[in-house]
Amino acid sequence: MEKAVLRKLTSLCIICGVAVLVLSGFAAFRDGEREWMPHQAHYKEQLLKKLSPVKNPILYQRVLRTQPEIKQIVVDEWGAVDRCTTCHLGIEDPLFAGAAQPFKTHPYPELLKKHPVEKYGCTICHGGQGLATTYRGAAHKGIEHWPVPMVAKGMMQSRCGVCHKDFLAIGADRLVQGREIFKQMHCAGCHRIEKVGGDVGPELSAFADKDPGNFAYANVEGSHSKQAWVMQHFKDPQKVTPGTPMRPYPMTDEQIECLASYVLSLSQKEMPRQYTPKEQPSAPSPQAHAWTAAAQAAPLTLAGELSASAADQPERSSK
Amino acid sequence: MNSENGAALSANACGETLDEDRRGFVKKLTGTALALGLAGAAVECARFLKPNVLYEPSRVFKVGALENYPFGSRTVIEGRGVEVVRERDGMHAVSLVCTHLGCLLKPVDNDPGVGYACPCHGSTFTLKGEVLGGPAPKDLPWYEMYLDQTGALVVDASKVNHKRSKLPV
Repeated sequence: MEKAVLRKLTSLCIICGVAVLVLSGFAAFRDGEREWMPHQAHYKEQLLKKLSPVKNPILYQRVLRTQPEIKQIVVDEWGAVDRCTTCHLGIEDPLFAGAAQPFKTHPYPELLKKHPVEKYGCTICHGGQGLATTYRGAAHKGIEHWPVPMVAKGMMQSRCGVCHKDFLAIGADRLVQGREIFKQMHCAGCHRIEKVGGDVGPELSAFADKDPGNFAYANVEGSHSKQAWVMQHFKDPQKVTPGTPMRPYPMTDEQIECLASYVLSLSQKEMPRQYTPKEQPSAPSPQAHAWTAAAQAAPLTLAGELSASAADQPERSSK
Repeated sequence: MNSENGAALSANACGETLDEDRRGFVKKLTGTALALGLAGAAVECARFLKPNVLYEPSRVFKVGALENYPFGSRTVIEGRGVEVVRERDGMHAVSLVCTHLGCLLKPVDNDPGVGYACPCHGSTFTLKGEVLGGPAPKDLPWYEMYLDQTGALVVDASKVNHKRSKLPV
């Protein structure tokens, strides 16, 4: 081979070898420096301080031996893989009630007791990207290309309403209020929910199931999520959807939140049987109209009960 | 003349050995860079074969509060293939997966000598999980158990309790 070619090949070999070495070194370094790792070390330190080596030596030794690892909850029934507990390690632990985030105990332990983390995961109620293991990636705030950011505090009840259609029974005051506003503002004049209402605007029976990718975000400020879209749309429909016949209605921010929560809870999704809330006998509110009764009863009941509740409706509306 | 020639020759030879040295160094450098680079790439590739986490339910799971397990109770944990047994001297979690071909064992209540029977090929095990008969080659493993800080019993099916030590509760 010619000398010049040989020399070129030699330098190419050196450069490639060194480059691969540097890259794999970088990869190994990054693999050992994950965002969640310091959290786990910190949690272990805090937990060991709270535990007694005498009272429960088995647990103490176990915690002492724990290595950093990704924790996840897999819920096959709705295809959720939530890794939130990788950082939110104290979520079920009353010992961490006063701790700082991310270890803080869930603020509503009684809710958590009814929805054990192991069985339900986190994103089913809170939204966000369950697979992510970084603060940003988990969509605590909105991120691009992830349609479901974590639900804002004021609209948390919108997620309760996806499964629980009896808002009064679960004490979802905001959903009740949102439903009232929907009624008072005569939204049903244009929007149909569960076969009741007009046809001027789009039907809202399955608003929660609509693909967030199909909304126009050109005029939406902040994160491009359905939640943001709904809020801003209620504030100023003309701005978010130019040319819409819907006009702005006089509502306070809180009322808008309630109405948005209610609309975002309208889902036709069938939950797996074992997750379906048990029917709670509760007196329907005297003002309940047929369409609210239908909204309460329809999505989560079986076909037979559906027809039964449909049969009830004429009576209720005639009251 | 001759001496001059000789000096020139030796200078030439000196330059050649220097050249040889350089060439040798470059060769070594190339070899080392390539070998280390390939080794690094191989290590990183091997790292891919050992993922941090798999899409499967955690092998460490809570089985509820201690009060749900009275003395003398045997409780099959649905969907996990584990039975939690509480006796006077402690608790243990025993695997319900037959060591023969992996069928789910059935706890036997009406025979004091037999704890578990396999519906597939008739292997039988004692209450402690030792093989009594049938094709099963090994005893049933016990898994590690502990009480966590919230008072919940936890079974760690990723760790086999080789000592078969009971959780004293």
